[in-house]
Amino acid sequence: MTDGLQVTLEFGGGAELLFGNIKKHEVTLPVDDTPWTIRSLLTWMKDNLLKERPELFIQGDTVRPGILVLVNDADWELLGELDYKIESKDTILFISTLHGG
Amino acid sequence: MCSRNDNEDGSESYMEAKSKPLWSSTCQKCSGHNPVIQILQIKHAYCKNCFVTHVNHKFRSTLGKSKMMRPSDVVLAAFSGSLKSHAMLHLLHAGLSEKSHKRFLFKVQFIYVDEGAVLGLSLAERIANLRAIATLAEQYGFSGHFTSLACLFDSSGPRCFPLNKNSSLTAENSLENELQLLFQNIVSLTAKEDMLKQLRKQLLLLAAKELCCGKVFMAHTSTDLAIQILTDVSLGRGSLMHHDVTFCDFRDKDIKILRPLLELSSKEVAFYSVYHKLDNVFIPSLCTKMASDSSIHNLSKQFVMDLMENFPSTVSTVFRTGEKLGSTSSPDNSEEDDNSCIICQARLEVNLSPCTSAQATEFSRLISSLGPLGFDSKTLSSISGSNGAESCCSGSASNCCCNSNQDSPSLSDIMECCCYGCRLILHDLKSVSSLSERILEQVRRRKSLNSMRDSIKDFLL
Ligand SMILES: [Zn+2]
Ligand SMILES: [Zn+2]
Repeated sequence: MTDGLQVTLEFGGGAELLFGNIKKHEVTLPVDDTPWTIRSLLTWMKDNLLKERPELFIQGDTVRPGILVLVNDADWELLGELDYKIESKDTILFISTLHGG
Repeated sequence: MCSRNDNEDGSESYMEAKSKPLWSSTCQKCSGHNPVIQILQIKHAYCKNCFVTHVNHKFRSTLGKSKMMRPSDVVLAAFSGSLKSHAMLHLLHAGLSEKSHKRFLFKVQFIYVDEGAVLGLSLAERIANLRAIATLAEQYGFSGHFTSLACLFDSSGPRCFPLNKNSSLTAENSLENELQLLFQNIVSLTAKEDMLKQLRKQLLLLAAKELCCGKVFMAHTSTDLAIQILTDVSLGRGSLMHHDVTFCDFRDKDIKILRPLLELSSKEVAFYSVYHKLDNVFIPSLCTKMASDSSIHNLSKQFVMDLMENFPSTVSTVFRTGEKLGSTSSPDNSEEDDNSCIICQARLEVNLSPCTSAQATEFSRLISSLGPLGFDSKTLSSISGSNGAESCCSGSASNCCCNSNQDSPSLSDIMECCCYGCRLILHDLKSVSSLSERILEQVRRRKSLNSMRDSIKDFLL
């Protein structure tokens, strides 16, 4: 597979529960005319990866408040959030802070 | 207005809206690395190293400035397998591994509370969780224990057991059934969550006593506590809230519950665990995968999180306001334990003002249960004498409630021994008999003590 954008999606803090309880997904995003952003990734995830209860992960066009997003270990708030342009081999981590304990 | 943002000149200011992150290309602390996280309270973008140091520092300073830790202390850390509680163990371990003068001198043990019976897990799943927890904590070398929620109802045997990778659970069936029956009988998710929280806390206190630990550490972050403040107010626990949301809960005479993460946000703790590659054992709880409007706690959570999106100072604003609402009651050192709530151990408000929400609720409950035709001039007098001390049949009828101390206490007897918040749980309870024998026994004891006091009060003076 040389076509498409290879990225690693990781889940933690309970967010993995909505993705078949698997913490790490290696995925290839199909080639597209426009560059992939977190915004378009979320739509793709909703259609292809999210196993149940999408409203517990996505709210409107962004992630549900309380779910943190890290791109290569950095806070997405420093990287432009939804508009961040995804690069090949990026690791994107979604971590839920909504679980008590 | 009572806002912490009130300016000195008397003008008001509102919470600051979210500003664009600072586009700095280097860490604002060491200027040497790329920033990875923006810490909102201080509006600085830090690199990984500086951030981890910042979290460590916050944790140590929270403990330090409390001036509560003694070298002889043995701390029991509550460990649920969540990221937060794992981060707490990691921070404790880091503090104990420091060199010379910076090292924590107190000792640390940890405990895992198995709540599987209430969450509907199979015994095999619960044992798997137990072992996963043991594996997760193994690297720290703390001595570990586990207990099961049903052990709360076991007055005879030990409640804590050593936790290791070969630990196993044997569900004590009669106790487990009692526990399950109790939860099946609670109608709303809100009351279930509240009950679970109270039971867990009581069990941790009992476990700490059994293990001779004077302090229990719980991994609540400032975000959790802001949510707790709103939940407590909504659940009628406002007057007791300061115990739930400050560094130290001193309601128990012997054991203090401390919250060493309370100056860190959930976001900071989550990033800390990511940077240390801390894993978690995720055990779905009562509210997991539930819609955000399924319980008051879930709603408060959603409310705080939504507000945080646009107003990052939400948590600290709610938090500081909550702190201001400290209780008027001072620490209770009296030996008498019959003026504390039998469910959550909160001190009962003895000197109630003439009009409290407790009475209003009682009134509305009475009116609704009587219906329009049952209401007459006698109805109100039964509330105003809300002590309920008058005997109902003047002691003549042998089958009357005042002669049947040995039988199951009535709902109103139990209510009298509970705080306002716990009364609301009881309202959601289908049957009183599903309460644990321990609670019912205490109600009986207090009731007979009260009637004894009443009968001798004329001779005193
Ligand atoms: Zn730095
Ligand atoms: Zn109570």
